[in-house]
Amino acid sequence: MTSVWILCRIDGAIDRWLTAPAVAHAPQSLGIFRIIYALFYLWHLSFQRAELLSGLPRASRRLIVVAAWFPFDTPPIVFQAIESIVVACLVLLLFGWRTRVMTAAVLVAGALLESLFSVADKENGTVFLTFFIPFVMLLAGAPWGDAYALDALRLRRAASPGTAARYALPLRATLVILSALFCIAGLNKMIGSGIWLRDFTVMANFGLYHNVDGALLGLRLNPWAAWVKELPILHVPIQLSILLFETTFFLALFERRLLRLYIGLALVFQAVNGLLFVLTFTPLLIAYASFLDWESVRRGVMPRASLKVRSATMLTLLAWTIAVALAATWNLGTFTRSILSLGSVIDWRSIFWPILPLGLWLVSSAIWQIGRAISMRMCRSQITEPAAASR
Amino acid sequence: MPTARPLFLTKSALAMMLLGLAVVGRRNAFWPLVNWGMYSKKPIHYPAPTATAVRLRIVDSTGQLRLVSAHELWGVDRLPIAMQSFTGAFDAETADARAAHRGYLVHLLDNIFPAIHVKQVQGVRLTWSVEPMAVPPLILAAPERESILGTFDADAHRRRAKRRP
Repeated sequence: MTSVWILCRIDGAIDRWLTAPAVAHAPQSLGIFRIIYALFYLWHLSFQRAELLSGLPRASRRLIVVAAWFPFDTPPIVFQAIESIVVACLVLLLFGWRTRVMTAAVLVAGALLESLFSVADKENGTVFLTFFIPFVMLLAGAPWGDAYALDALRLRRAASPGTAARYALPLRATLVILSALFCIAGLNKMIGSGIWLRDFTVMANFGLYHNVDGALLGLRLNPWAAWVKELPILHVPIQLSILLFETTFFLALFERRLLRLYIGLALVFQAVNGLLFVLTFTPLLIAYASFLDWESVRRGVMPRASLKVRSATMLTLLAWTIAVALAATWNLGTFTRSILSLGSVIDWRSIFWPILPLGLWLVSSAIWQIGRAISMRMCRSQITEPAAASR
Repeated sequence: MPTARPLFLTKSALAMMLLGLAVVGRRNAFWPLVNWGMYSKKPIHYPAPTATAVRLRIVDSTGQLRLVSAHELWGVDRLPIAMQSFTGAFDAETADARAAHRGYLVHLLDNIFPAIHVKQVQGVRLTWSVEPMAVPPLILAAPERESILGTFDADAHRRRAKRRP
């Protein structure tokens, strides 16, 4: 009886946590995040060419269970068609047209496409972009279509306070998976082979190793790699700080300011990895982006902007025109793709230049907020203690 | 409560995904349930005094020569896909496996360089001497050694691909 009561209490606590507000101005922030997600995904796809997977030699294929049935000997046009379907669905998702259906379509077609790439080369940084985010959105009924979307315009759907919990669910679920993956990554480094706790030259060698790789690829190199290697005093702090960051990421689950701190740290971590090493975990950026208050950013950048569209039909027509045009021209030369990457100006590495200061700002503002909260609590306890003593 | 169904679905899915990550996450076969085990399995040593890379030297129908790197075909983020065929086309154990890699390389070259009709492909292994503590650690334009891995006729592989059902 007691155990059932305890389980019910735990279940209730999980429910309350999962439905507690996760981001400010939830429907609007989520709506803007949907647009950013679609644009980011299109940008990511602009560097991929699925047609090149056609005829992939058997020896180069890994076993990926969900793609095991797929015949890689099919003509390139089949791969191009899958890619074009994902592109068209992303454009319609961007406009918020039938958001729930488009979320499901992006999930199915996008996950299929990425699983095919994974057969050739596993790139685990893409799991949030291609699977987890659309999946958790779909489970919650695609609430990212409630604002800044054609659906909202058509149905005149207004976010009522009663549905606020719905907006929290996908973000909370994303945070749980992100925390689990970071925690496992840290534990793998410590207890899997134990290399990171036995050999404190891993990161120092890592810098030099990636400089050789970068030189072979003709990339910009890490100027501090040799300097770090020559200063053994830095080796232990660098390695331990990475382990500490990964294994304690789950703390972001418990407090809003800690979430801000860990998202900031994650952005700095990814930016350093991307800018100084040849590490392409870039698609993971979209998972961090889901926790930002985009509506406040929008109000700061465009305070007077509002969606004043009288005709949903006209906007639907525009959405479909762009979707068909992009899907049809996606594999005709490189023009369409180069529009999205601004002629490759924004690539897997250059995107981190604005990310680094953003991460640093989030970290410093979170530390400031945490510090202020602690000092206020201390002040309050100092005030209440003498009062209690005098009573 | 209007969120009861989404809440139940999200909770159930989260429980299954977390269980999946814990049980099968280490094996990449169960994508998207994959762990991030980066750089946790093998030690990272101080770089070796030499570095090698396979490049393709292609000859087009006008007789022009061009040196092609793996990242020109698949980009840096998907580099291993091209690298497997760069080496497999010359090092694979069986003739069939070599032919499959060669056919795939011709397919890649035709797609990436549509304006060029590649006639002949030669695999070259280049070796550089490495100064790990220097920036850059090697001079890309000045490899120390070059060994030819083999040469094949691109048209023969195009014909073979056409005959394939």
